[in-house]
Amino acid sequence: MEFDFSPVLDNWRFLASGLLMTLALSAATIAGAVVVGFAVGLARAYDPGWLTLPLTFYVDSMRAIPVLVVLVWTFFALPILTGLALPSFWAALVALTLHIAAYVSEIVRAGIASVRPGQTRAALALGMSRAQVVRRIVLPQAVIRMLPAFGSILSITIKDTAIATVIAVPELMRQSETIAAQSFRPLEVFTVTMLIFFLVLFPATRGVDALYRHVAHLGRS
Amino acid sequence: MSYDWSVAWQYRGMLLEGVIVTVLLTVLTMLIAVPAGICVMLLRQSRYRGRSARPMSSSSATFR
Repeated sequence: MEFDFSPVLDNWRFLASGLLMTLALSAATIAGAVVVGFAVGLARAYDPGWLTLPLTFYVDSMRAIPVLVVLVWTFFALPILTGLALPSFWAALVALTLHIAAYVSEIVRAGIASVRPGQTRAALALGMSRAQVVRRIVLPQAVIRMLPAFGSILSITIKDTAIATVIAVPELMRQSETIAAQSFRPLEVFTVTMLIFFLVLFPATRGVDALYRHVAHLGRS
Repeated sequence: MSYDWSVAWQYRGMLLEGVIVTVLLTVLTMLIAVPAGICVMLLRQSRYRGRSARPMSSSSATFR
């Protein structure tokens, strides 16, 4: 068995552009999902009544539908339904954000629920407003406790961006498939792809773990 | 815009086959993954810190 890594070396710029796209899509998805997830999680934790039903439906349906199906639907079905045809990158961003945000909202809700209600009652008794209680008492502890779960979500998000290859977003997996198909060297190309994903994800997840170890004491009460 | 939902009914056989394969894959995956996961967990919990402990812990972190 002979290995030939020259297709990878010859096309490293092409692969690097894919990696950049993967990182950009991941960063945008994480940012969007954290914003939407916090909004949904806070709304569900501090239930204003009428919002509960639609938000619960949103979270439960996102947990019950594969991200691939959401992605394909956003790219192929949404334009027919609304007349709004999103470019592949934006379709992937919308679908991944909607999907990941549901999981983020559950993490946020669990983090908030983990702070003992006695603390909220004590803060209210001291004359703080509800917004102050959330901002100064509950969230500072809850966010620290959410960190390990956020680490998992971060790695899941980066891995899920590879699914965007099915709608031809030129990310790492798509570029690898193109090189592999043109060079007839799938073993070498996809092995390098695995290695690149590993080199991106392993430090990212270990970094979040290390950060948590440093700040975990701030979440105890 | 008019939609034609009859395609879903027309190809119900194929869709049903897909559902069966999905369920089968899920059951088989869980049958293998749960015992394998329990084995890895037991190895990682082990008090014996041999040469095998490190690669095992980092490999499970890799697939997280």
